[in-house]
Amino acid sequence: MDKVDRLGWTAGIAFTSYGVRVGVRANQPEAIELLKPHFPPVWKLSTELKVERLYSLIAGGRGSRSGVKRFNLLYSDAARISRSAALEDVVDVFESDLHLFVSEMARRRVFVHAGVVAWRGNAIMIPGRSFSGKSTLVAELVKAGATYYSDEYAVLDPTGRVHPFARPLAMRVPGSAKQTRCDVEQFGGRKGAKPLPVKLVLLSHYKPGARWRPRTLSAGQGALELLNNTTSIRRQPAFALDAIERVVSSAVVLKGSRGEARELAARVLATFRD
Amino acid sequence: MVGGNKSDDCSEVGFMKEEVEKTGSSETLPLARNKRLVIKELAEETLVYDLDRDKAHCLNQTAGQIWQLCDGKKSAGDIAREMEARTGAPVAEAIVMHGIQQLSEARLIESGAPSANGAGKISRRELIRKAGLVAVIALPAVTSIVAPTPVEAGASCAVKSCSLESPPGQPDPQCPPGLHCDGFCCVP
Repeated sequence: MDKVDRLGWTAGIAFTSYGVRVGVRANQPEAIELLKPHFPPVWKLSTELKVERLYSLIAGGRGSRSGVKRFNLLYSDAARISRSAALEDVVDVFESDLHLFVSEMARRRVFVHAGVVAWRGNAIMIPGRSFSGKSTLVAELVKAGATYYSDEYAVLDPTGRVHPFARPLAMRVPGSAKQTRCDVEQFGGRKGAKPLPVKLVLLSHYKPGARWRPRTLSAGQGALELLNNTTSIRRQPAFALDAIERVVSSAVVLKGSRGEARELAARVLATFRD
Repeated sequence: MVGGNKSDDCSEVGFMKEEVEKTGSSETLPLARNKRLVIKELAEETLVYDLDRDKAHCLNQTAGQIWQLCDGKKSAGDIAREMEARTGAPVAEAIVMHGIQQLSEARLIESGAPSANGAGKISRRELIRKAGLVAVIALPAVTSIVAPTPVEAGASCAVKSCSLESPPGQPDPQCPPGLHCDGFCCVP
């Protein structure tokens, strides 16, 4: 038995998300409620006793002596992955680790690190690492009328259609690594629900003052770009290749530097009709 | 390094004007590797995932054809003739040798590839210079990436992301002073 298992746990929950079984336990029942909004957008309670990943949260708070504050601790299985006086920092680590784990282990789904919006019945996929301006571009596309699907993962099924992963949009505070969350409804957007075929893949990189003059990538090059952002590629390469092949066979893949996200969003939606 | 290097442009096209001098031994009988690979045929390219090395390769049409014809029984000259018969256009043996060399570097040739010490090797630039630039088939191109780990694929850059096209290790205008682009992120 690991040391962490010998601690006192007062609350726990098991759930499945994309076929992945996850458990969460905490030293205070309120802590579980605090974590729930950070589960992946699609999850359901499970009665399974055996899980693939167990998160354990020890909420700190005030110590027994005055002036003493205990750290908040987060474990992923037996490994401690976060220790902070600020509970929100620990919760951020929980969300990011949980989403990454689910994205890697998901059954019959391929997760590509990408933003996704829908426009005229088709999906526009924006792969890229964080700080590439992905969320900003997604937000501008939604403000310009597109339907929000995701700012974190494009969830592909075996036919290459993309499913929503519509957590609240994470927007960065300028000049900081901190993010704030906002629902797309706050700026008049709406969330999509139906799986859609991908018709456009945008590989854009923010460069101040740049004009959007993209080059069209071949299907093979486009596939490599998507594979490069696929979390489960090493675990299930054949399955990932199948889904990605479907995407690049029917989508246009454009790559280039972009200036302001608002201008590109308007241009993309104006030109991308069918 | 996060992600991997791009060795070449998959769609780059070069053209042959005249017969190029033979650059490798016609005795080598290259054999394509077929084990521990996941292969996907696209309309004009071939995607290959190497399960042993966790690398993904994109072969353009010419490289894909050469790879397909590397059966351990044909020399580079035989492959060139076979490709000529298929395409109806002249194919220089040097082009086939160059393709085999690239496929070998991507570890997609089991045996019979040009030696790694450089004997019989010809660079893409040299091939274009010698051959001139006028006619017929695309030069073989193999683009490769190292498949990202889950953490790399889902990773956030601590400072700023940068383009895949920036040469790794070089100062990059996309990165703040003192940092360079490792292909994806600005790093010290």
